[in-house]
Amino acid sequence: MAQARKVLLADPDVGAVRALTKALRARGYQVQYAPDGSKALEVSVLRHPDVILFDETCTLIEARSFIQILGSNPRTEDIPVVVTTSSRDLDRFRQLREGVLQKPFNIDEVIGRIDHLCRRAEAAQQLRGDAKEIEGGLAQLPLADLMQIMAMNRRTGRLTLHHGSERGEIQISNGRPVNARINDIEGEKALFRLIGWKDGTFAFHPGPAPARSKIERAMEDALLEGMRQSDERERLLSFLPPLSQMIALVPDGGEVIEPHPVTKELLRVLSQPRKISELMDLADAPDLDILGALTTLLEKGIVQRFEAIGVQEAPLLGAAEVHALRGKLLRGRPHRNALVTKIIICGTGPKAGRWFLRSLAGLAPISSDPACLRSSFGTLGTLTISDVLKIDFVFAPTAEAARPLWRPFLSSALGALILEESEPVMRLARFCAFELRMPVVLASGPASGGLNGTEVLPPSLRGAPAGVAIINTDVAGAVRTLLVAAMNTPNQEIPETMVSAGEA
Amino acid sequence: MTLDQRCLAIVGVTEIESLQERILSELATICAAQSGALWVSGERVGMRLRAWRGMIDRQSLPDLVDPSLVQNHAWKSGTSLLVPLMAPNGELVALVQLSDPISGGFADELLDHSETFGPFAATALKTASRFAQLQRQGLRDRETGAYTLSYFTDYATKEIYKARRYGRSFSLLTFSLDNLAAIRQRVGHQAVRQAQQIVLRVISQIIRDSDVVARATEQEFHVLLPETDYFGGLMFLRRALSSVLEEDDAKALEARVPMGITGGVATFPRDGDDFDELLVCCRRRMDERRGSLHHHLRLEPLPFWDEVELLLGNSRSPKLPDAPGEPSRRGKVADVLFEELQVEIGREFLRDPMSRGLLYVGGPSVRGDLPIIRSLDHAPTDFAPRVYVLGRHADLQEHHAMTPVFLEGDERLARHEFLLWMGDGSAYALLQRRGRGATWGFHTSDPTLVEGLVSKLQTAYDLQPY
Repeated sequence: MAQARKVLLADPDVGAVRALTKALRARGYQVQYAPDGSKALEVSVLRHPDVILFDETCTLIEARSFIQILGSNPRTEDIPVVVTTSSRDLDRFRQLREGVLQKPFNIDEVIGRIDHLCRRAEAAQQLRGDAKEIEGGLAQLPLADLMQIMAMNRRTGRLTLHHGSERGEIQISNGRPVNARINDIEGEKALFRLIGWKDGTFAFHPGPAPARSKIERAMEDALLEGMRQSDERERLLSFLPPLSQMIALVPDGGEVIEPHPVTKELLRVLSQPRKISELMDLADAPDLDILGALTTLLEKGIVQRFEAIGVQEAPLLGAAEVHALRGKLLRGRPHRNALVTKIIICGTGPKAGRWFLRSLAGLAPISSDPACLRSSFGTLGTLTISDVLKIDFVFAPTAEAARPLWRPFLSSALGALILEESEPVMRLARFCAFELRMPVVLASGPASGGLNGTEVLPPSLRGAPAGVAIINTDVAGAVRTLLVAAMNTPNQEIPETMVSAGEA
Repeated sequence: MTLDQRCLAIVGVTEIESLQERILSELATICAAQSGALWVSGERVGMRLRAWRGMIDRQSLPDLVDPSLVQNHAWKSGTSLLVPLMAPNGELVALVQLSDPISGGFADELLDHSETFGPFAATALKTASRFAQLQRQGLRDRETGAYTLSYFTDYATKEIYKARRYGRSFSLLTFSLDNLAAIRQRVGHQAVRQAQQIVLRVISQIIRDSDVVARATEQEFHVLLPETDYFGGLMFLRRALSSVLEEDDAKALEARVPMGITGGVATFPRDGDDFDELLVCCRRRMDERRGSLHHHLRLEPLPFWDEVELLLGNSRSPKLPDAPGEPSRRGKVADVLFEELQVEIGREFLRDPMSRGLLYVGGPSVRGDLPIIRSLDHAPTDFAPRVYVLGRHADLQEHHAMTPVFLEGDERLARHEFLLWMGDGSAYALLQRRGRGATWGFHTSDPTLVEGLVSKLQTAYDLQPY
């Protein structure tokens, strides 16, 4: 220290002053003393201390008035004043810029605070007056202090920050933050996230102010709100999984009726599994609101860690698609976890059934020799899409004499998969498409095991109200097309492109 | 929007359903709550749950709240904020529960904000409720006292919105007096009015407070049954039709000219997404009833077994008439069909075990190895369909998912097998007689025919109506 730092202790309690004076002197500080507010003001103006500790029991001038008087004098406006008190009600001092110290205090802690204020004052001194760039570490000079210095000195330029592999920037105009950036995020959300950085490096580059302002708060206000959000964010993060954790919607997580806008945004972003850090970047809401909403979503079982979802082996539908399909199936019905639905297979003879059992990965036959292979009527097998959704594949009888079986046994199906183009099969397909108004997929080529060679959609199926498509890639693709069509609203037809892709 | 502006804006909302949701939404915004629920005082006991939003678990919300438990000022309970909505005269109008604050807790100043908003919301609720009452009084048909179609359409649209939002179902019923022209021609206009009034009087006697009846045209009436599934709608239709025909005035009129009353049911969301689609479905089902074999063959007066014999016939019986409704077929059937159907219907029930359904399986004996019994061995405890197995007692004593009905010495049952199934929106019946080398059967998906058979079976063996 080239020059001894000066501390003014304004306190009528001589005993407390004595103990503190001894400790400060031992650390090389020069201590000044004032028993009341008037004397403290006089010493402040004449001696210009680096830091003032002002006890609220000082007479003649009250603490707030003292701070105001110093702040209004250009000679003393930069002197930090910390109020000391024996009161337990610290909320009264929330507005004070340098905070408050409660008595009895730990001497080391008080000295630590004084050290910090002095370092900040020296940094401010360094910044004041010249236009050159400045660099440093956030561990030595926290961002909040750095920005206060910028505010006091009405600096204009860019403050760049590095924290591990992350890089951020705060644009300052006349000592006021006007924009901040981190990753692709801008504005207050970025500023509040940056204010939470405890370590890393900073560099200030003086320069012109940006044309447009995206932050409308004063520096003081922005810092207070940023620090509040930072504390709250830390608290919430301690209850949440790590930021790198993948999370996803729970397929049977239930419906959220008219969600809060932040929750709605999170549900939108979580249409596919995401890391929590990605979620915070992709949603527009402030990080604190996102974490608050996410905590609730996790508590309510609407969102869960991604590993917990048993859909990884099921390539047919993703978690969000399973969620959407479940929502559709549960409309107007009592809620339950495990759902079983069915898809109709339209084809004749055991050949179609055996080929289908062999070809659709994951399809477990209902028994070692399903009876429907002989009679062409009944359940062939079950495909487990996830822990909460299974699909039965049911053979529908095509014979004219079996027609009374059609409506009762087919009407609750998700859709119909057509494996052949014979007249009886097409009659049943038309019934499914136009009478029962369910989506229909005509499998051809490899998707039908060679049972159906057609490459164009039969005219009799065109214009089906719930959609119709021809798929010639593989059977899983055909089933997936059907499931996707079924999860859409009845008015949403299978896109025309899907049809042409199949035809191509 | 400032708090004052919100308070003033809420007083201007007069539509009760949207007001309830708006109040909840405004309070949730004011208090930054992610979830909330609203209970409103009714004309009778307690405060009834009217709206909820966010991530709240509906099952955890009580339907009724005792007003004596509600405090006079907003208070915190656990992690929730409870706001009584009191009118300026101190009357408790509603209670709002807010939960899941986005910031983790409700600040104390929110108690004041919510209490400022409360009297405005309470006043708005009272005004909207009076407004709805006036609207109902002004929207009744003068001749019959039923609601007008415009009011009904408006009400149905709101019900669709509510059902969609809260994931509920409701049923729309349509009744038609098909012979109105003949009644007018043969008996006169007074009889037309009398027929209309009989139908409305009977329906009004059996509806609940929440159900709404409207006259759509001279011969058509609509009934809306909130929170009623297809089965409930079907039960109501059956009860309404039989109650109308049991009325003394109706009997007197029927003796001169049949009224030709018919009805159809459609349920949201399975039968349609809007009022028009539901109405089309109702009318289609009415057409199916009109075109049913049940009417063509005049089966109404026949007892169960006589109807079974008539429908089954034999290889020399005349061909069944071509009815325009759901198909029926008669002829040789595969020996295994009866067993296969039991297995498939069992699976159908297990796919959706909480949906109502009704199945009667009849045959010579009730054995433990019947396919339907085996297929329902693993039915869950909350299994909703009702399954009856009828026949001579063999080896089955009881089963958790079905009701065995032991019928000793019934010769006709010993010679026949039948299966009557009513599911969610569809119906099926198989009647068969096993012979040497071949099984002769009749099967149908005609809902009116199946309902008639079920009803007659219940009468024949004193079974509970569904």
